[in-house]
Amino acid sequence: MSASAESLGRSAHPPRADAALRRPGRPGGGWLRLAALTVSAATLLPIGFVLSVVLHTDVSTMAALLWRPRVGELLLNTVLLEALVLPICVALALALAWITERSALPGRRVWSLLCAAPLAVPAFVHSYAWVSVWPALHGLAAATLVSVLAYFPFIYLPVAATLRRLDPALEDVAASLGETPWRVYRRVVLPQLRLALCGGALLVGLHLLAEYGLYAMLRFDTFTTAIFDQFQSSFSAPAANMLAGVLVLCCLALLGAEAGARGHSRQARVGSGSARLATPRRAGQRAMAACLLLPLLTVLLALGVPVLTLARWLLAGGSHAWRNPELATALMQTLGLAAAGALITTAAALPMAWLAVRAPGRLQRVLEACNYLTGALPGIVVALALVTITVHLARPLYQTLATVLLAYLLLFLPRALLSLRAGIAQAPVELEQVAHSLGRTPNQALWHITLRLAAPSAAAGAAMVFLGITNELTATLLLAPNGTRTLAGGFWALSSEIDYAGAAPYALLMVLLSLPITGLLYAQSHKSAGR
Amino acid sequence: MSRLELRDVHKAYGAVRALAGVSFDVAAGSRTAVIGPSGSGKTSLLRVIAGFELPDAGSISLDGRTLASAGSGVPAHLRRIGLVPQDGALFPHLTVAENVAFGLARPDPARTAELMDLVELDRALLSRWPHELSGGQQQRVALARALAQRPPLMLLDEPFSALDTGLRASARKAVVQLLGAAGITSILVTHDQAEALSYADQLVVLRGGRLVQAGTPQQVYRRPIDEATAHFLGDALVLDARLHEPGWADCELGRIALESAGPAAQREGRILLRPEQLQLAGATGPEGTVTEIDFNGATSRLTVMLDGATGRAITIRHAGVDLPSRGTRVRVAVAGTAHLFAAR
Repeated sequence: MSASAESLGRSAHPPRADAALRRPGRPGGGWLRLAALTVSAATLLPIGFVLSVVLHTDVSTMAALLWRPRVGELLLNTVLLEALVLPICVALALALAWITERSALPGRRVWSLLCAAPLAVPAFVHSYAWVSVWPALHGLAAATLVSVLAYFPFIYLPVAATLRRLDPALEDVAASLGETPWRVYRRVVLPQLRLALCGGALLVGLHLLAEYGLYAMLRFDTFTTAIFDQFQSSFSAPAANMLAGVLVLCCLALLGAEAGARGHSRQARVGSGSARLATPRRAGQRAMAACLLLPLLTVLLALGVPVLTLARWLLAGGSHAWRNPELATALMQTLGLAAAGALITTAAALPMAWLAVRAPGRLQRVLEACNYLTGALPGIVVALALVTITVHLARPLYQTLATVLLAYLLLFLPRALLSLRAGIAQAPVELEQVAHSLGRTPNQALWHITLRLAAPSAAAGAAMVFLGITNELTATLLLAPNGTRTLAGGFWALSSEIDYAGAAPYALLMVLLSLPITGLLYAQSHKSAGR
Repeated sequence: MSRLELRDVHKAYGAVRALAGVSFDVAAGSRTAVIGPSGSGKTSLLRVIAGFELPDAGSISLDGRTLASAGSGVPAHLRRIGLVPQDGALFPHLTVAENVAFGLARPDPARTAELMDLVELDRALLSRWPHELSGGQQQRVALARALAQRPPLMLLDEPFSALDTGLRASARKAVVQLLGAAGITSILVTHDQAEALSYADQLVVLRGGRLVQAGTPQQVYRRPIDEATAHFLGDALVLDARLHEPGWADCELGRIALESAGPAAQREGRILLRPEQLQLAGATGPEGTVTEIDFNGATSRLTVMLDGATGRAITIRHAGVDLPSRGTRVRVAVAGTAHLFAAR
């Protein structure tokens, strides 16, 4: 490096003359902390609502509302549903993940994509498909069947991704220590899948508690459908609120069970060394046929039934169903709501995500926990809370756009937060510091460096929120301004009137909107596995 | 040319004291290397000077202007202090040209190209992305980026540690030339003693958040303040000695001249010899047996077990082509003077 002093300027500049000494703000600026605090306070609204209901109801009223055969029946239904659906989903996801990741099944990549694809079909479109094929379908068995088909990919995706990432050397070592393949699977592979299994199962469990459309259509009563009915038919606020309280307890029980089952064992690979790919297991013709049967059957039921039913109703409805002027309105309103909601939610998640990566501490962990807790609550509870609060405390906000957007924010904040946090973690703090040393203010560095680098993750998070809002039914029905008609709402109204042909275009549009984002999820699960 | 002054700088992270009263000056246009084991406070010192952290107490000033004093300070982005981090920390979403021009008020292709010449990088690389460069090239881009805003002071945070051994020395030499020609004051933080010795005009040794010693590399290497510093800067032979005659020490290797005599009353002490002062002599000096030969190419390390009651094993750096074999009887001679550690 031949240095020419002229080109560098021999008289280096002193620090800028106007640079006065300043008392430091907290690292990262106070406004981020304040914003995170505000958002977290907002996320406490639903829990605060449930607590205040419990506190303001006297014991005898509470007992009268809760000690009813009806409540016992709902509780039994909920417990049975969870107890049946979760083990079946776990077993199905494990088997499919093993077949698509470890067996030498022809076309494994296609099968793995098809196993994730049912996520693009909203749960209530699954039940619509089954009911229109088989109108007599109802009750616990039907609810179990459709729930498994609609939700198993939530477990399949993380389990398959983890299985792909596992270091096959561990299995080789276990085999060299004299373990049979089955015992290797049980003692080495399965324990490492535990985090993915627990996370996926929790997601499915929470969906079972929160889902309204799927069970309403199959005439299977859960807390969510009962609360909705109470609210719609009799507007019996105390009864609905009490049921919401029980539902929140169910959620907390699930969260606690998951935290307990997750355990504390180390999951990361110890030591360095890059994992090679596991060699697919070859099997005999008969075993291969058995391996093919499971994904084939699953895909037929979970994807074939909805797709064929939709095709049938679309043909039956012909072009007439598409000429419904309300369809275009519903599409535009859905896109508008989902885009606005995604934008607001992502922006609201930013301060929390930044703090979680750059300034982790006890306060930040508490705030973050609030966000996740509310995200785990069913839409019906959040909606009920916002209805009650706006009716009693802020009447002008009742059934306004602002309220429905707030509900979306509360429901889908964790999706944005998780993505954004991962994105910010990929932008090391050294880059922000180099930008400071090159004369950028902290806010400029945050905007030009960290946010620019986190942008793809932020977009992915926003897309997940968008998807959530597109398929959201309960909160929208309860909170949206009069005259709002979303795709989900329109679909629900028409299919409730047994106008299956009229509902089909709405369902198709929802599926088409969901497809790219399901693809994104699939791609992300591959990327997180490192290939 | 800028002069940096640190006065009694303190910094604690919770209960951990990272810096406990560090004071030193960096002369205008000079090169200072800060060296210390991990956890000694090197990185904290750099962060406090750069402005990413504020000192809890004490003051830092550059050319007489206060940058920081007890809890308040000029924000990092207003200090114009150049920084080259460990792995370069190039912005991955910007091209090489955009990285180099990041600190310029407005895009200036001519100056960007000039900076590339300065760090001896091909201008053709300007359109590349950081991940398309080798480690050495990334480091040079980081240097060009820091030079762009004509900083009065340049901080180098172990910038050579990611480079291959061969590349490291030449990169270091190039940086020394470049900063010297431009008259930029610089501080290099490193845990590599060879790098620190070769880079600096002034060496600052930190341990446990305290400044242990500051001086020219020769001073600190030849006359370290204590045994830990002596060992940290290179192989050291520390011996007990009797001090009967002023200016002389008597030890297992015989009578050795002292660089400077201790207090007249001191009768005993510990002295330092560096392995390069020990030679295999023909006729004089204490006798011993070669017990181990560690052949390293140009120079080899011989372990010699001295005769006598202690049976001490000493290491000798031997540069000759005629390597003695194990078991050879040899005599050890001492060249130069010994350094007497101050009595505790």
